[in-house]
Amino acid sequence: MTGTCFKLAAPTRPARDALLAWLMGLEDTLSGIWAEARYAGVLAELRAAAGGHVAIAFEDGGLLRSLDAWQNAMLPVAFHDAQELEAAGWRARGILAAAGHRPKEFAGRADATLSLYERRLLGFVKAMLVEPQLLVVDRLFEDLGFEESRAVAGWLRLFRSRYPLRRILYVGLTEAAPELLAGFAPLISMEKVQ
Amino acid sequence: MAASVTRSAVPGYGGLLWDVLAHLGALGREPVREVLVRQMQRAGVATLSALVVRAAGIGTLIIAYTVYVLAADAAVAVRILVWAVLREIGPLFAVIMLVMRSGTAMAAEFALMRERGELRALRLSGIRVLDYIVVPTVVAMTVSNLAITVYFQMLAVGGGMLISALLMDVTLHELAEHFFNMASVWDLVYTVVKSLGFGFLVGMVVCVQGLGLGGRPVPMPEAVSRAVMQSFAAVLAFNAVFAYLVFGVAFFGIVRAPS
Repeated sequence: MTGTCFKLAAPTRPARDALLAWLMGLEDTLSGIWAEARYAGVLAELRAAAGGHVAIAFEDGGLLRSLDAWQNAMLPVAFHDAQELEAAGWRARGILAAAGHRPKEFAGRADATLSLYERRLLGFVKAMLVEPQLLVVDRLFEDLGFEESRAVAGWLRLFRSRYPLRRILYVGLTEAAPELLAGFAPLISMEKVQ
Repeated sequence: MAASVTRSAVPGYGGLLWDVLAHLGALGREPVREVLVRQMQRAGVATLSALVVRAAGIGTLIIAYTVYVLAADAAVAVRILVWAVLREIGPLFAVIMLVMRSGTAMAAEFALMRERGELRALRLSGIRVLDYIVVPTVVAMTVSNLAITVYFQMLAVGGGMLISALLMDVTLHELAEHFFNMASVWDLVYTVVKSLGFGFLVGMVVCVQGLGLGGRPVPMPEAVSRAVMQSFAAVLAFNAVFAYLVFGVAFFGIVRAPS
């Protein structure tokens, strides 16, 4: 499965959270519908291959109101490896530039002033900075316009071009438009999950 | 699940005490230190500014009441000032201010963070809520409460004696002399330990109720209400136990240690 991208639809938010927590290694057992035989094997292989190097690009960016936009993007690196902070800052600028944005757009901006698209972009940058083996993309296409959705698809291509051997798992409450996830293999039959 | 993703990060009160002590090393991380500084500014600086007039007023009232109403001399007035302000009213008044001004705000903020999914995002980003929020908050509340208490006592004793000397028929020198004769290092130690205990307890309660740790998370207004009520209950219980351990007396003499 090296380098493969997957997509699946989680029927409810609790089901999605259960899966994310388990993939992150925060839960020992796979619970709910995911524990069923038809899902468990593939998901377990995904998790094992990631070896704990999992990052999630959250649907709302996973940002904290108490921090500004840039601090939010840098938080995981600052928390886990502060010595890498400067290098991570340059990498973040590079990712933003590749996504068609200038870092200045986000410097010092309060969380409340960010649009949904901008929040998701910062969440994606935050996840990219961790350099994960498995990038879990959480509902990034939902509630966005056509142009913004296309831009999000571009972020995923960016990840794939930088890390061609790593994996992406797209998780949504509903099935995303197929053209946005071109090349993503349905991990589990959408009909069965829905 | 969203709640349990957050909740399962930290156990309830019992385990939390040890977890906080065991994870004090998290304060070495830059983002955690930033949270610590932010919480200390909120808990300490915001509360200190509200204390000046109240503290000096309480000191003056105690001296005036003792001298005029009880018709006692300056020595008795200062003795009561030492007993009341240094040992009891100071730490209690400080922690009341801490709970009302900062505890409520922090509990509300934490409950909102929980409701907005920020705690879930933190945990799923590999950042423990215990390290990033609980430890700096408890430490900030503990240290801030000590600072508030000392500040209150200085203002109540100093301001009380100064205003009394200006308004009443006693000299500042006389009051100060009595004070330094009566106050002891033991009073200081007693105050410091008690204030640290109060602040630590309030920090724990605010975190548990606000973050919804170790139990069913409740809506924000209820979380704030619980944080206030449980903070006061915890402080009063600690006060009674501490007084019993130190003086062998609790609940105004109703409970006495066997001689």
